[in-house]
Amino acid sequence: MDKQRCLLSIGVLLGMLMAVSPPTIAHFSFLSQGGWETLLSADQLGEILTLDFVKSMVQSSQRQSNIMTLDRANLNKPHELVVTTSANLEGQIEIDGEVVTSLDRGTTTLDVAPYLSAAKTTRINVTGTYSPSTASVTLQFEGPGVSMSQQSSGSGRLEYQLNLEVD
Amino acid sequence: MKPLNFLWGLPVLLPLVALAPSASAQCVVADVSIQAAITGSEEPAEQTNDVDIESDGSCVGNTSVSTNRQIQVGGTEPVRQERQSRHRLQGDPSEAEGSGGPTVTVPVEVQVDVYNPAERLRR
Repeated sequence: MDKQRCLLSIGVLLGMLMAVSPPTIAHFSFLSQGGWETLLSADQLGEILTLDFVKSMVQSSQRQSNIMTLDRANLNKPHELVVTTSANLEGQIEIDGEVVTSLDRGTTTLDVAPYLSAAKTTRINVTGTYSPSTASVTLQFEGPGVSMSQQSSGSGRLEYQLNLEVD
Repeated sequence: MKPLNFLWGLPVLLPLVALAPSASAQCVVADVSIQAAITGSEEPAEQTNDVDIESDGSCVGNTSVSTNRQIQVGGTEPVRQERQSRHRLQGDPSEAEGSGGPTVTVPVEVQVDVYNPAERLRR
């Protein structure tokens, strides 16, 4: 019984030493602790992080884009972009590279008419992530005489570009 | 021996149960495009739909759906409706053995272009 207690106290002491001051045990290779990546050589790492493994970490993706023409005579009327989802959505709408508004669950409405001008193409990017990925995100664009709707589901990531060309 | 002692075998059995292949469907990609133009432009509408679906080998339990509708009604200006759609599908490779299969793709494309001369009288 005493032998067991002795072993136990030695174990506890060693453990405390390892926890409190790791440098004191650094020269005992079998006691030292390192990150998992230092234990593996570059070759071994390469074997584990194969292309298939990395690919399996990457979810599927989906990217959509549309080009539509608009009549310059209608530029003073509203051209609304509506994003609707019941999923948890985190994202943003960018117009010509500038973030205009952020997205979240529910409905986001944006009138893009102020950003349009004659003889110019306006790029609207809608990007974000949603969960669960089985949910769907609906984008709708409605202007005088023109409409677009895009529904995406499955990838968990939203990547959509709408190019509006004004005559 | 107490019957309760057999419980110690559970931790050994659990991983075996988890490793058994689960029945799940192969991957599905559905891509629907509808483009319609009913205008007073004498030039035919420029309608393109470019769909690209990529999925390698056996794939399990993933779905990618895109439904797109572009409609233009009225006006006399030439119409351009273009669409690009990319699907990249990745199944779970650990599940793919046995229960997976080639990805099912369902591309649907509808293009309608109607010349309505009455539009020219509106102005």
